[in-house]
Amino acid sequence: MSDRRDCRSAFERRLDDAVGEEVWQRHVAACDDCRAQTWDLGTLMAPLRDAEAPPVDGARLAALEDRFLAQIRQGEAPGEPATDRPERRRWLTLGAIAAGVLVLVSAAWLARGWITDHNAGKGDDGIAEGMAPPPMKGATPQAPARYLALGVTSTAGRVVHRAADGSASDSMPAGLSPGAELETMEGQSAVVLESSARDLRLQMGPRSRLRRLAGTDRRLRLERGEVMAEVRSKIAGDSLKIHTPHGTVTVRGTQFLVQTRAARTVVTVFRGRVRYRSRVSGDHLVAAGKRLEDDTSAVTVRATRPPSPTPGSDPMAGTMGSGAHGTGGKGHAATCSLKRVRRLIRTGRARAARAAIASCRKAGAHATTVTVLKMLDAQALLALGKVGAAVRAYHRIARHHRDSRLGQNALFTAGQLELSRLGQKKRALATFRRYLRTYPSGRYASEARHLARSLEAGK
Amino acid sequence: MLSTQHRIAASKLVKDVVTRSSDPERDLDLVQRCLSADDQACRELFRRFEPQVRGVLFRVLGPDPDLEDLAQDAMVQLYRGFCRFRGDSSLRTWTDRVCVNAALQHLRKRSRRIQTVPMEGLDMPMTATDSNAEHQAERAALVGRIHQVMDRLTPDKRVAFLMHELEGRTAAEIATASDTPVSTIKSRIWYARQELHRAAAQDPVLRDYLDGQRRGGEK
Repeated sequence: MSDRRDCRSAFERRLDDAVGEEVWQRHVAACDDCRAQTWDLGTLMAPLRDAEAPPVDGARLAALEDRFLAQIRQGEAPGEPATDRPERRRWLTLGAIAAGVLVLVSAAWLARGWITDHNAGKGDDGIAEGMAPPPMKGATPQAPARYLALGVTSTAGRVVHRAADGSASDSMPAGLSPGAELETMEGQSAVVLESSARDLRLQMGPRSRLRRLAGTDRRLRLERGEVMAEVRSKIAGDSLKIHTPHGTVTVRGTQFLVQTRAARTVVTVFRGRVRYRSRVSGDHLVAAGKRLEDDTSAVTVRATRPPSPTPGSDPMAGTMGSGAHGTGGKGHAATCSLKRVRRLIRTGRARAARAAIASCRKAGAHATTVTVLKMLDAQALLALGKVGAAVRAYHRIARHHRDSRLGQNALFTAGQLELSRLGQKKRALATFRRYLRTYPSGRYASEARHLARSLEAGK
Repeated sequence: MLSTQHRIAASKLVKDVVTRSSDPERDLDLVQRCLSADDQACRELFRRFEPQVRGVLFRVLGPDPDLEDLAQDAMVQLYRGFCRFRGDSSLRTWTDRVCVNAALQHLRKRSRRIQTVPMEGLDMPMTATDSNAEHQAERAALVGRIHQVMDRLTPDKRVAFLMHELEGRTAAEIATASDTPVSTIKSRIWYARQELHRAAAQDPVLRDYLDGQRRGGEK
């Protein structure tokens, strides 16, 4: 009989390639357990393999097709089946509330980014000066590939979509196809567009009209209004180009704002560089912190007001949604570093770590940070050898953060410590049972089940 | 009038054709047309992929009263995800991703809600004149039983195992579809095999079935 580790490694080799399959077949021929198991599972899978989904008759299929079309056209959530499902309704209600809150927050954010600041720095022609860039999602840049669409990731207010054939509708498509146009209205109307590889993000402000030109998603025309562009990775030969009535902006860097009105176009660069080709005076390179104004008769470049982020720095620093995690809020970022606390625990300086945690708490850290600090405090207690106190701390976290992954981790860790460090089998069993009751399909459910069974068997 | 068996054979053939005929250029074109709100393209998308999606969900979830709604939701998700479709993978991979997510989500919800599985088996239209009706009923009950035993697996393990065993996906494909490391998928499939084998050995019906098959094989 083979060692189970050999069985597993042979099986996993099988999942790799054709050579692995041969390795597995040789192993099965030699291992009675694996042979029996493979035969049994193959026999059990045969009826499932043959089973077919209940056939849908033609009329029903046509109805489903129509329903599908209606759903994607209206952009609404899939239809609710006519069954009584209180639980589903409850989740839907919660979802609706969450969505409402999200909409309110987005509206406030948009108002802050596009209206308040806009008004605060307006020039005589209504174009904002030194507008703060809106916060961006922290998506990781992906390898550039073929671009198919500019996906519409969020909208606010009334937005009109005009297809390439000129037909207009208020409902948003999944993406902006070549030739199509988006127009935002007065007030808090705005649209966020993102490329398929998420390395290009555009945010249209109110009273703007943006058309996607033919070809890739990197050719756009801003007829009117303003668009904030963030390019996370450059693609050779396929730079983002935004045409305006007065010139063309070609990206050479990463983050910039283009504003255009009847009389002039203004380009403000926050990070990297852009090239501006004016119809009257040729090419201009605009670096970060500079603002170019083209009023059809002349082009001027000057420093932005208020001072914009310096090249290489994060232009989002200090704006909403950045730097919230990992550092304390309310201006105490310098005094509270989770990294430092972790390092102190790792290097055995648990007392210093606890002192750092206490100072962080006093400093009034962000709610998320406080939760992480609680876990780190429990770890520090453990490092100090105060296992009982650590277990109590983990139980406290589990009670207070029942619905989070942290709570789940804490409860399972408490059970493990009770079993392995304190030798309290009864308590450990109760903890594992509680874990399984609370998180029946949690990430440690199989381990907790196994441990609970072992403890029950050992009674 | 086609018999049930003929219908099953025909739908299998269609499924195989759909699975094999993965033409990236055609896929890309279809996605482009769908994104430009072309109704015909959306209809084509539905006709091409709905049977595939429903089939995968059926085989992974077993008989489920919500199957039709789930397939419908998955199709809408498939469409909505098109703005992120870059064309560097096939639509089949994209469909797998949607199916895996829909199945996982539903299994998690189901495990929270109830711990039972409908045992009526397949909702096949069967008549008294159908000569295979009895055999089919037995088969359906067996399928229901296997899925009931499979409910003991965690959703992650179940989906990884069934996508591999029934849909013939490689560990790498499942990993891509579920945004999980390949090693984790391998591990899930391995543990699912162990747990399922143990569970089947403990289940009297499946044990009898396996014994019967073994005896049949020996004869």
